[in-house]
Amino acid sequence: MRTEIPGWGVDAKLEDRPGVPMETEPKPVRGAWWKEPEPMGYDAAHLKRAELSHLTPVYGTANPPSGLSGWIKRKAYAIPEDRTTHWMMLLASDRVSFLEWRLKHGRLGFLPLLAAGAGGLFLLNRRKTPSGRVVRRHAAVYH
Amino acid sequence: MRALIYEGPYKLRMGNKPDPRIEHPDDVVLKVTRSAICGSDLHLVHGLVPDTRPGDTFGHEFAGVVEEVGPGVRTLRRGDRVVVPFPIACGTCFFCSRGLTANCENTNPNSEIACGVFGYSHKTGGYDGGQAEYVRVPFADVNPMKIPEDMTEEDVLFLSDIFPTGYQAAEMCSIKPGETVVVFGAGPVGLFAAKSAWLMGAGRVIVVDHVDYRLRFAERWAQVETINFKKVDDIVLYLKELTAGRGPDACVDAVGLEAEGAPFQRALGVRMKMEAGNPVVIRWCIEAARKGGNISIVGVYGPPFNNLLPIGLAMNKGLTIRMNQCNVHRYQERLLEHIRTGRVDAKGIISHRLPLEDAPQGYKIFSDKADECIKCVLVPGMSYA
Repeated sequence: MRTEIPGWGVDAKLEDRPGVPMETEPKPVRGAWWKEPEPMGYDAAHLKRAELSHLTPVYGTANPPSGLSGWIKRKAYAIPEDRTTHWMMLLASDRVSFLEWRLKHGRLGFLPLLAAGAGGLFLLNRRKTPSGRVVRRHAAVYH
Repeated sequence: MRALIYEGPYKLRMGNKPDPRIEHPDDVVLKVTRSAICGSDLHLVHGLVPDTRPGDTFGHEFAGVVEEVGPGVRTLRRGDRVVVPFPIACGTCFFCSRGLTANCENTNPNSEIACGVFGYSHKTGGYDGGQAEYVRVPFADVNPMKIPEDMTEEDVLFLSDIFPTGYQAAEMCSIKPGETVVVFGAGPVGLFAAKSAWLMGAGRVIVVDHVDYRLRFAERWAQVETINFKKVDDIVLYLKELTAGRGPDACVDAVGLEAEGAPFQRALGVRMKMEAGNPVVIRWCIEAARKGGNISIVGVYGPPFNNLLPIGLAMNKGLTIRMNQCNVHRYQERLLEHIRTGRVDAKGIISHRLPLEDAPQGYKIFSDKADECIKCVLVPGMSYA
């Protein structure tokens, strides 16, 4: 069977494999010509983990946090990653960000129907008190 | 430009985004010519990776042509064809300089979880990915690898992630000639891990999954034995029976957090998100491997924690467990030669080619395992005519 398998055993020697040893003697990778990479610069719009004093020299600039979800994310990133609270707050911010996205782009699904239904029920059940306040009809029974 | 846009769990669409620009002197902007959908992209779409924001663009397996060059770039010119590793490495930090480019400390300010990765949530640095017409690639003197003139983008596309990841998975098992290797998962990474185990001289390679068409493909493409774990009573005992009662010498977890099997753990980890996915494959690896054996984990597991892992058993069996994201840069040259010499038909796993505009459909096909899908590749500008 081995003869039918192309390349069987060509990397059999452990010490010749490209990832052995796992850690090599320090040397720059490929065409890296800098000792320390030049930093992109600080941008307060982007988040960093709690233990860093500044952003890494290079970072992604896609989609910086915004809105309520962004506020929660900022709070979450101020908490170290070894705390479960950090992750729970991020999960919560994700759920908020989906709602924000749907609001912003008009992809609300059943939500407008729900809001319209609630508003309609309020209109049907309202009445004015002698003082001119609008209250729910059955709430007025207790006045 | 046109790009895939994430709108929330299970919601993807194509849309317009501003073109990427040079933001650092060693950046380039690529015009994407091929971009693959990875199994780990599905974890993002399924809402299992924290801080994945609506509006993000995924894609960390891509090749393209250099369109714009930053003023500090010395090794690339406009028009060069390149394939790009998924980890974004600076090339000189403590970790990069020791070969651990997937652990670079200069490209991800957001988390210790990984270095910067293209299109893989804001926990890996918040970079847009390559499932778009254009993409910004940082540290262009370190990351992109030029595609040799005699090879096509599709020949080398999987040097961006899944071939090196599969190879590293096998390598981390320290396979010695004649050993028995079990690979859990017949997806693309599992296929490359199985193929790599042969290159390292394994005596027997067994692939375990529950999707029959993928197991049939593994038999054909990687010449391995296969087991559908849903058709045996107990996969751990079955593997021990196949290996003289001791268990395989090495086990590879090429599945990750969305594993089938162990319904309770799947409900807890995947449906209820009470832990970081379903770790059943790690459990099977620990229980099946022979005493003193090796286990490697390249399946993706999310934070913050996994429960119900038999670490005591692993200690008492004297197992070696190794894991990491793949240090792609150090594997590309060797694996390129394996492709060039025909030892590994990397592009042979492509089952679907779709226009970039059909990326959401590609995700659906891949996620549903429809139409015997093994691997989807997106081609900007492609038409079906």
